[in-house]
Amino acid sequence: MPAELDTFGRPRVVVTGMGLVTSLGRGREDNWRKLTAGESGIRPITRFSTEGLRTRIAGTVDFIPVEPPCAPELTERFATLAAEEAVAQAAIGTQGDFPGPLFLAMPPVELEWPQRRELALAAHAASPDQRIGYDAALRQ
Amino acid sequence: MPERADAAPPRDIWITGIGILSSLGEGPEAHLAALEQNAVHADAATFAPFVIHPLPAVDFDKQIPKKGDQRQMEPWQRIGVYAAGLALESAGLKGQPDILSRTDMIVAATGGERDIAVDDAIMAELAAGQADDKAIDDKAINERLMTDLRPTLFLAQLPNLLAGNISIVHGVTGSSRTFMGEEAAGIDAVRLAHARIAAGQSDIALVGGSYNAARKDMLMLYEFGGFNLKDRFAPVWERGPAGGLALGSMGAFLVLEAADHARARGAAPFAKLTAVVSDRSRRGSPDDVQQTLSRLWDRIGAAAADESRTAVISGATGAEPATAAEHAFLQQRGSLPVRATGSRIGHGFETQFPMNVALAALAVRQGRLFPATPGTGAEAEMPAPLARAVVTGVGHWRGEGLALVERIEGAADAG
Repeated sequence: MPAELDTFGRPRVVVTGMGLVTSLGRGREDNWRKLTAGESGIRPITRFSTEGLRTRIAGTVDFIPVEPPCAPELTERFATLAAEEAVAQAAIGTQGDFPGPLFLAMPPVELEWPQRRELALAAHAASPDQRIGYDAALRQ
Repeated sequence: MPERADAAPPRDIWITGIGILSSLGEGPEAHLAALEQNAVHADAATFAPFVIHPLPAVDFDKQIPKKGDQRQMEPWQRIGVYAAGLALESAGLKGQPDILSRTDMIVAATGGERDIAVDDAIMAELAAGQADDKAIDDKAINERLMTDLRPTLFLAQLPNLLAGNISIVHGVTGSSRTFMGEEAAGIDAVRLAHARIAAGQSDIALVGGSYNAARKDMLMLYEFGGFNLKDRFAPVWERGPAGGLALGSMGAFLVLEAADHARARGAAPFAKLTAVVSDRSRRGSPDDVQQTLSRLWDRIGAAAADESRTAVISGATGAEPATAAEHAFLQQRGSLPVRATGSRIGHGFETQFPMNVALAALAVRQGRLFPATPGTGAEAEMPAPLARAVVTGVGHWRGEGLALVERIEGAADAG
């Protein structure tokens, strides 16, 4: 067992569990296998139309189904899967009770165009003569 | 916890700079005067039926002299860079590159503004087209996005670019961290800056955030959650069982500094930031928030010392059931006077906790709590002098935290 304090007298910090989800796959083993086999997860984007956009490829995780298939749902699912794998490996706490804080890094997620389109069409159906935009949608 | 080989002696941490901007105005004097008069600037018309607390007109040139810098920001970042400048000025740090290059920054921020005009144009087109074929709509959306959005908009939207712009404009170039996560992000920004200084990893930090309430995209997000207050302003304790948030535009930055560092450079403090604690209760049962606040209250040492000179500066949001839970907790604390700033400046999410720490510091420095919001039955007047304030942050959805701010005897009372 290494010393509990480092040479500056600070508590040593160790990693006891890891979980990951990437375009290569779900889980440590899947990822490591594909990484060491030289595989790439960069592929054409399928979740939304890229017609007319300059970039049409990404490291996309297109094998994890969520409903609705939007960024907020995907983000939460990736985090949950990775966290579950890490906590399981660390064998700490009990189901639904992790004994410590959560630090989560993620980009901003917001309403996407399929949802905004639905809102626009619903607002239009409710007020066919009105110009549709945020104002009309907010009233819905 | 193992003892450190040579643990650093405990350091007092002072608040030596305050930069605040809200619907009540700009700076400590304006805020104290407005709080004293119970001023509330709530707008239920511009974004009807939603109620917001808008910023007054601000001359951003005063803190962001280059128009080019201002142009690549949207209002949210301008508010933040402005408030950060006020805080640095307040701490006497402007024009001190030696200190600024060591000043660590923690900013709490959300995503930046969308281009509302482009969104509106696309929605109008989608509605007018009424396409049954989604492929036609998708192509139209992409065309609009590619031609109408300015390519650098994403810079204005990235949360960490607020810290980036503070570095660029004000030359703060120590370490830089940006936290997202609504109220809890603001609480943890203050907590971690305090902890790093206490541990000797930092001597001085700039901490805070900004929020722009005048955003239709943001109002829409919160409307989906049913969180917005509608039609008419009411104090946070008076919003009925459904509750509601009145979003408030604001910017708040603090300079936190080790007392020894401040004394060495002759900096006068506003107040002492004695402790900051945070947690995230499950909120599964009605008691969770109260039990969490109770544990945090003990940890912060709020129970000790003289309660007759202690008040609570509450970040109660108006959302339910969190607001009622906090109210119930505070009522059990006896007759502590409470001031919910959400009733005066609205709710600014990430920015609320740094703002409330600032207001608490100003109140304890003047030694007097500002008057209660009348008629709510939740806020008692305080005739006694004020020496300590507990700042609460109970997130509308998740996250709880407390800070203890204490008067430094002998600190100047000059306005």
